[in-house]
Amino acid sequence: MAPLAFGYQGPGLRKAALTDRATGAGLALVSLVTLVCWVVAWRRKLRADGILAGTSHWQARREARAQRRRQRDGEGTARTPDPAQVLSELRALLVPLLAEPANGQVVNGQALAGIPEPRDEPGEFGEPEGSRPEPDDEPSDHAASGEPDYYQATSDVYPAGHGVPAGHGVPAGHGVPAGHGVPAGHGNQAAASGPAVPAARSGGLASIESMLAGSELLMVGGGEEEAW
Amino acid sequence: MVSRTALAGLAAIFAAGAWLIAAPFVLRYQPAGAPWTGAARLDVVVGAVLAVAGFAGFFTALAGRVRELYAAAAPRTGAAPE
Repeated sequence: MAPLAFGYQGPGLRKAALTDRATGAGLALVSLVTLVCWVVAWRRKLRADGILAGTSHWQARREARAQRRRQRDGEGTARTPDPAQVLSELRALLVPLLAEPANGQVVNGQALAGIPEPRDEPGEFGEPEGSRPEPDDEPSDHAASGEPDYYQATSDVYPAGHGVPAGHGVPAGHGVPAGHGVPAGHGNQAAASGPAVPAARSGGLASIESMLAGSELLMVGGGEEEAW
Repeated sequence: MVSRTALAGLAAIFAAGAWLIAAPFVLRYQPAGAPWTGAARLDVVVGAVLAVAGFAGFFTALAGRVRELYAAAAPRTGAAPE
């Protein structure tokens, strides 16, 4: 603005006016770019230090709009299932199991494999002694060899030809010696060779039901999904 | 990248100030030995102010950047930041 303010008139001052104007324009441009760059750098640093909010105002609005769109499309409900509904579905799945016969081993003619029973002392939960399957109902080879009775109970749970499928038993190196597992289709032979699965008892699903009720209480008391 | 551009802008301001100081003599609208015209005097003064501001700003920003690098390197090297 100096050429206009001071009225650069004269033969030699034309160059001065041109120089001042060009330098002034260049300086204004450079100063503007420098100012923008410093503002961006400072904002990044303040955001990294937590002084500024993590997201800008426009970004927050954009995310809120996207969230509303997802909820409108039903994606939001699909991503966060209702815990109470999940519990109800679990309970509905357990109803056929809870309605099992007294010995608790056969439902609809199929053996319940893969549900281990707690190794409690007999009658600890007030269960009648007579409710346990008696191993003496069938001839036992293990009684003569001095092996515990739960071998026979295991062979009841996993009859011949219906043993634990391969890959669904206790994995190798996890407590069962090699060669002592229950191979597929050889339940009796494997049971005779060593301990694989503890004996099943009636009323074992009661513990599952109590766990379900406990988790439900936790959820209701906590009011949070983290209570799971 | 942004910080480097900002430092380059400060260096450009310093260069513009230096150019304004030299322009009257380079473009010869201030003859040597002649009394100083108002245009030459104004350009030199404004150029000096810009050069000082650009110089101070550039080295202040550079010193701040070096201090940040030292502070960031202190936890790794175990040296206490001053």
